[in-house]
Amino acid sequence: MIRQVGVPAPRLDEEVLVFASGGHRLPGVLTRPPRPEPDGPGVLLLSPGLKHRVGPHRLYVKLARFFAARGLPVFRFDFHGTGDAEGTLPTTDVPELHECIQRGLFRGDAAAALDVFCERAGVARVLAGGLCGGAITAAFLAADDPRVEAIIGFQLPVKKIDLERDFAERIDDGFSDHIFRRYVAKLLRPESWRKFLSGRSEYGLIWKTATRRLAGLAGRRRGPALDAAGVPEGMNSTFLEAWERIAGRARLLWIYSEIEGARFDFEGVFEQVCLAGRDRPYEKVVLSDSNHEFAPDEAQESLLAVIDDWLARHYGAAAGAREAV
Amino acid sequence: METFDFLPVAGERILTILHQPAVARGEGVLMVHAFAEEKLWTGRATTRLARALAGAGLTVLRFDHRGHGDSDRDHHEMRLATLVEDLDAAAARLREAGAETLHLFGFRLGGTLALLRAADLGAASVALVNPPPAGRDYLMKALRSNLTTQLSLYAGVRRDREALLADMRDTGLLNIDGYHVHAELFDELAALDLAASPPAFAGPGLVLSLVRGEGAPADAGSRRVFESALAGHPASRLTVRAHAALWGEQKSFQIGEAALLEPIVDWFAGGWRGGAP
Repeated sequence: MIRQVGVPAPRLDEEVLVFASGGHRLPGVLTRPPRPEPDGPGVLLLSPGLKHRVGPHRLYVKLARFFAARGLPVFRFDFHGTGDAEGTLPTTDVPELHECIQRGLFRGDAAAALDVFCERAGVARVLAGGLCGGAITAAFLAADDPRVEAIIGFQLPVKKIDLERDFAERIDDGFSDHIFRRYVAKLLRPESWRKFLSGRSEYGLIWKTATRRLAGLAGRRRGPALDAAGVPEGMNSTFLEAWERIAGRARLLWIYSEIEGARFDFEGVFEQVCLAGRDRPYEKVVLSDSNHEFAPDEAQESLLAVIDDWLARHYGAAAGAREAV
Repeated sequence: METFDFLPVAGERILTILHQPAVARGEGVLMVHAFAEEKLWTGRATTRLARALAGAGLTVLRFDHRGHGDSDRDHHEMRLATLVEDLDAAAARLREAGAETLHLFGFRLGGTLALLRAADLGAASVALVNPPPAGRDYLMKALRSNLTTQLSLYAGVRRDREALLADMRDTGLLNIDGYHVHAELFDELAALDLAASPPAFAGPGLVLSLVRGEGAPADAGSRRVFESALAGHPASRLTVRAHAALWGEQKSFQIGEAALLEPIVDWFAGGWRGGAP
């Protein structure tokens, strides 16, 4: 990921494309590979949540240049109401907006971008990728359009954001235990006690994670409640509908950070309950030493190594063997 | 009308976005973005501000420095010289677009940089939002994010500030929010101190200090920039408005409220001439 200091980045063939979606003009950047992979797919990167086409720490620019170095054209763009695009969003409340995205707020924009990308880059098959909200939008797009033959999703959220419940109540048992273990690890640190005694700790979170842990140790955990259709409480039904259309059809790579709350939802609720007794037609990789945005050096390097390996296995060793960006 | 383009600079390219008003009046505003993740968080507000300025009849040019946004280079390849080169090239492009009178706007460190270049570029005025007066303090605060990330990952800090800086001397790189800052740029920015070395610009300037609560005083950094560099001009202003710190993550999506847009638009629409605010 980190090029040797002093070695300049390669010159890139990049073009800004402005296209229309829902009456709004949306800008995007098309990166063309210096040595295109014959008949290779294109890569459509879907912006993370409310962040624009560049992404946190320019992650999407790094990814675009990484894929281009492997012979694949890449398109990334701004959803309406974000970045440099036209339009406004239905609210400015971030949790509400995240919920809107998980219901498909940007589905139409993604479909319009796919059309533009396929036409301008001359590709017929597409890998859709994205971080968090971008990952779920990629799943919706794959469900809607068979040209999307694969998804590379980072920190895919599978549960809705329950705005009526506080954080400690809506998280999965596994994530609750993880947080509680963090508090236990702090018991020997004087600064943690100073913070606790000075009224600056999150007492509600400590109490609720502790009681959930105790309930677990006492064998009194009941798992997530199920609705009449057997769906766990809080699951995103829009995602489940999309899942039924992409599972077994699209190649799927899910990448999570070890401490990511969405990972616990995916493993504890989606895999354990929704997919109980069913196939798991995807690859899942969990990275340690990574935050939500893959900001640490180790996380950036691991992320690209995982993608490189996956590309090599599914799209030919030649693609994976190309010189790294 | 908004036009996206890649502008050649020293054999490389920077992304520019030109906002042309319906009726141009020969005045333009060059917008200098905040740095690293602060650029991401201020992105939508910057877009809205550019549109509001164009709506007031100003020609506006936004651009991404090399190492930022969609422009060439990786972040670690950025130096003070490339920052200046990019800014100067963008100013020339704005003049080509018909801006006979040039104004500079900057968010945070972009404001500091704009102020440093204002005299050489012949700017008529500047408007700066929460500019840091000293590069070293700015970088030390930015390093907090690295420590916060370590806390979330390891429930403790494995590499404190001193260790991170020592690592930077060894490897040449420092990770701030996932951006790799080169040691040379770190040293160049750390040497910036507007109080110790006031910029040559002698024109009018607005410093907009966005603070958390109504009635709060201006933040110390904004006050220091104003007093050391701009207070000598009779039209200069230090304006305080309550607004979320939109250069960091907030619970609401920061699109730029009236508390940000109005003082800046008023300034470039004529306030810089010394009229009533």
